[in-house]
Amino acid sequence: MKIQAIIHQQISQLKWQILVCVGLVMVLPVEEFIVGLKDGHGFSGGITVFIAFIIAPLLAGLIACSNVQAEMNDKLYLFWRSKPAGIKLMVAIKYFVGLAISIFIFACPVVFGFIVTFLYNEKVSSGMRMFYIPLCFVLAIMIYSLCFGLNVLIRNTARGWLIGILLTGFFLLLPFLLPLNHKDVFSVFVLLTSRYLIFIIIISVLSFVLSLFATQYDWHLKTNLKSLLWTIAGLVFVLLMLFSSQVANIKILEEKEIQTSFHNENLLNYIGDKVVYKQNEYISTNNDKISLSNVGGTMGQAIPAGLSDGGGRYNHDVYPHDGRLIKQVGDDYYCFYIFAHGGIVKTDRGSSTIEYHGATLYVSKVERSSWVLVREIDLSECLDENVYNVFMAMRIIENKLFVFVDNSLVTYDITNPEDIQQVDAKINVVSMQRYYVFGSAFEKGSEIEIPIVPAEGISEQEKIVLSIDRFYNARNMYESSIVDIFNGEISFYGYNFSTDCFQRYEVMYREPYVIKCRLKESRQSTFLEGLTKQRMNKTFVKNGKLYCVADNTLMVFDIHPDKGIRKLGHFVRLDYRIEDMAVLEDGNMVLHLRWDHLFSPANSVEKEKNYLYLLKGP
Amino acid sequence: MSEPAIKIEGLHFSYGKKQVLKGVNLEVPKGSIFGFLGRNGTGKTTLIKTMLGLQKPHSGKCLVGGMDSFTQTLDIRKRIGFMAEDQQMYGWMKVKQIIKWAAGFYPDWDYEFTDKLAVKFGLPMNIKVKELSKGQNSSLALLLALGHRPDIVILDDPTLGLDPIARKDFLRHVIELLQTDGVTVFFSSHLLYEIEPVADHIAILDKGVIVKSCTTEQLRESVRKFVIAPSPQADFSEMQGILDAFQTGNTISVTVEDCDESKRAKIKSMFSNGTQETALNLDEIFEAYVIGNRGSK
Amino acid sequence: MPIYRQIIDQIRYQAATGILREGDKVPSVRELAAKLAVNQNTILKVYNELCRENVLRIERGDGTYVSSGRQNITISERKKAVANALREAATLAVQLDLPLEQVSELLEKEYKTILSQKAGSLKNDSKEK
Repeated sequence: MKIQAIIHQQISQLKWQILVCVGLVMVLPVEEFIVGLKDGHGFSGGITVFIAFIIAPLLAGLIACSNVQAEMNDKLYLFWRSKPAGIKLMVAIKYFVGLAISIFIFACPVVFGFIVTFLYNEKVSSGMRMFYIPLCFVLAIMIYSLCFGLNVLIRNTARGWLIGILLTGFFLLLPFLLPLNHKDVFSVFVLLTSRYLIFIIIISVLSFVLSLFATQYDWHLKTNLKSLLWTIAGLVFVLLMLFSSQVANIKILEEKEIQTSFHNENLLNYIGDKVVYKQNEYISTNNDKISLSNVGGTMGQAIPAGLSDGGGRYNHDVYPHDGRLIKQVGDDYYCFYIFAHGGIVKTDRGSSTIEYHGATLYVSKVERSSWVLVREIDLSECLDENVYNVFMAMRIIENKLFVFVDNSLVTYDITNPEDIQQVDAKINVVSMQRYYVFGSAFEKGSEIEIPIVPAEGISEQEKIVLSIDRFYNARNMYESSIVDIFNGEISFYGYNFSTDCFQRYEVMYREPYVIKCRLKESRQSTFLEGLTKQRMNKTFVKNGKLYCVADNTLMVFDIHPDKGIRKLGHFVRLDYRIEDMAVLEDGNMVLHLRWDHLFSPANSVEKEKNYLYLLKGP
Repeated sequence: MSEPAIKIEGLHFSYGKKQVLKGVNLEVPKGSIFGFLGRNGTGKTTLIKTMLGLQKPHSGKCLVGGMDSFTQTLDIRKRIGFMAEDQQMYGWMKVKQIIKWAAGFYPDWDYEFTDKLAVKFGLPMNIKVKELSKGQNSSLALLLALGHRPDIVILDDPTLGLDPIARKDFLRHVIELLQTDGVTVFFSSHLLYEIEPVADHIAILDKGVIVKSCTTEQLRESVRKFVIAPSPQADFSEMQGILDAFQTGNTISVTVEDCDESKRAKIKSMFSNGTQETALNLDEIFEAYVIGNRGSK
Repeated sequence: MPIYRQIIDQIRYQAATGILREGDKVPSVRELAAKLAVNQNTILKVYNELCRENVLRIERGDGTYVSSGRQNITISERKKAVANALREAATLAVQLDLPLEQVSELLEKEYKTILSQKAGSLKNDSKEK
């Protein structure tokens, strides 16, 4: 048998397609070249990249289809199959001839681009050499193989091509959905070692082998518009299944509509380890239902209205802004908060801002179902000169209250909250600049230093935890920590918004005034996670788990240091906003979700709805 | 007697659940022109595909030239010439090119012979295949099937769609080129009158089985129709070989195969009030085999 | 009617009417088969049958010729052959209810036409000569 005769037949059979395809891919680069020659602005490789990247793979699919279609006509099919040549050999020849043609078409603009850039004495960018060209090369092979295999099966050019393209899209999306990291997909083309490259090659080879056997045994599928639609629906379904399994796998135990009158009112807070709803009912789980029990006396808003809204002027600040730092002593409940105030000044650039010149620590107590102020301590001496942005944070450890205002720390003994005593004199904590570790693109292994807060009367470990939270969790440190201690090793966690990673820093050792930490681990957000989450409002660690809350997303990670950061659960409510979230003692979670009637008529009363969700702890 | 050119034993084949061939037995004598009859869609092409080794039979044997059609398919295909039903070829090729292409598959392609054939068939060499007339197209297909001088030629309804003159021409070529050289021709058709003049043997395939296989002469001689008046003692339910029986008015027509003297006598004895015996024309015979009411009546 | 019967009748008719004349060479089996697109075996059978009836004569290694005459067959054999051929016509006549006299008339007419055709063609031939 003369193989060259068959190859010759294949090529001459496709000669018009080849000519048209080469014409199509070359029109733009040649035009670009001519225009560049005239204007003298050189040759931009972008157009070549675009052609090679978008058009060449699609054309590869078309070549595959017309290559197969020319032979799969029912009557012609018997013609060549009855010749004394192995059917598999014939199909293999067809496949490789078509593949060579596809690669040739792909190579035309690329080689042209290289030659022209060389003529212009320019260099081909490494991005193009290392990334785009290998990428579309592999892409073209995959589309070609899929279209070839599908056409053998379906024997209809248009449908085969369409499904081939859809499947390619599906396979391209797959790694985004699978635990594979989506950055892998792109790095493969640079490194050519990744799993995804192997995946593409496996798909292509499988498709080729399938076409061999399908021709040998005359397998084919009858398709019509209906089955085509079903196929598309099936693919979309699989995508959605993968999607939902990845981002919505926390079980909802109970959904309960609630009435609430205030915006931005945090409905959930802690007293000790217990979660309190609307500051007057303990929340616990009973048979997977929310169970409420009265705290003892209605408490309501701890901060007086005059302080909390500042009379409409922005010349104040409160920490915690809703007065949620509550401590139970005996049967009494005490609330601590700091109030900073100042006046409006003009900055050098002419805009107005607040200059803080006073700060006060308030202590309130529940008496006859409402909050009564019992203590007021002036903290103004903690403020530096010209403070435009006051730093405030608080944490209770045992019977001590640590109050950070600006760069100072004041410690109080709160054994008797009505008569709190300052333990130490004001301590200057730090004058160093702030560290934004969760906003910096540090490499893995990078080391950072955190100044140690010179707090007295607590253990060394607590001191480290306090220092870390003071720097990276100030806003929420009154009720949560980002630090986890496992077997005596201290790590802290956070979401890095500049690299879109969940990161773990490990405390290496401490020096007299600083602790040295190293970036141990980064977990890249997957593509889908990126799609649903908007902004991390809060991240914290509790009982060996990392909780991350964004506007409409809750993610829970396991942070066992040996196993790395592994996602345990993901909860998304796209049209809801997570207002507040708390972890119950049994590990279940309570969420306050708000849903806005964005498109409701203006006169509608029900503009928003509030819900309490009980979620199963993953 | 020498080994048959094609020998098929107990061949079964089905597409999914649909059984197409249900135990086909067939022997094609060497050097004969074998007419293979069947209505469209009865499995003729399926059987031919099996003979070409294009599909694996589910059970049974198919020997072509003494070789198993599935396991030795490449060797077989070198020795056979095949022309498909309504054969299509690469329309964009020129006649010259397609001959060259087909020749590529065979080590001993006889160019001298094909050139001669092309002249004989009046095939223009420099014209595209898609521009050929129907008759020329089938001539070309025949040429491509014969170029390597096969000793077995399989023609699957080759005259389908040809006008009577082109059909006659085609048959003339088959006789002249093939029978003269002692080539075995397996000629499938759905028209008995078409293959009757050329075939030595005739086999009829119906509903997946061969209902009759004999020489053309036997087929003609042995099928008889009796027209009889119904009578109470008329009972031929026991009789073998009844192909068709139907009643019109006050007569019954019975078509009987393998009609010999003893059968004739038996029928005559059963119907004392007179029988009339007639021979059938070939299309009537074919019809009796494939659509006859074979039940007893 | 079977194809080989048709061919036999045709040759017989041609011999009877003088289109084929004594001593004429008829085509070989292969040639005739190809010409008529009929199986060679059928043609062989036709020639054999006609030889038996003495219409044709095969000369080994040379070819087949139109035989010189009918003398070799006995009158009873000839009668039998004609009776066979007439049976079909008779059957048809009975079926179509044609009286015997009219059938005889027709037979006579046909007989005479063929005789005159034969005589005519012989005359033409001698004229040409």
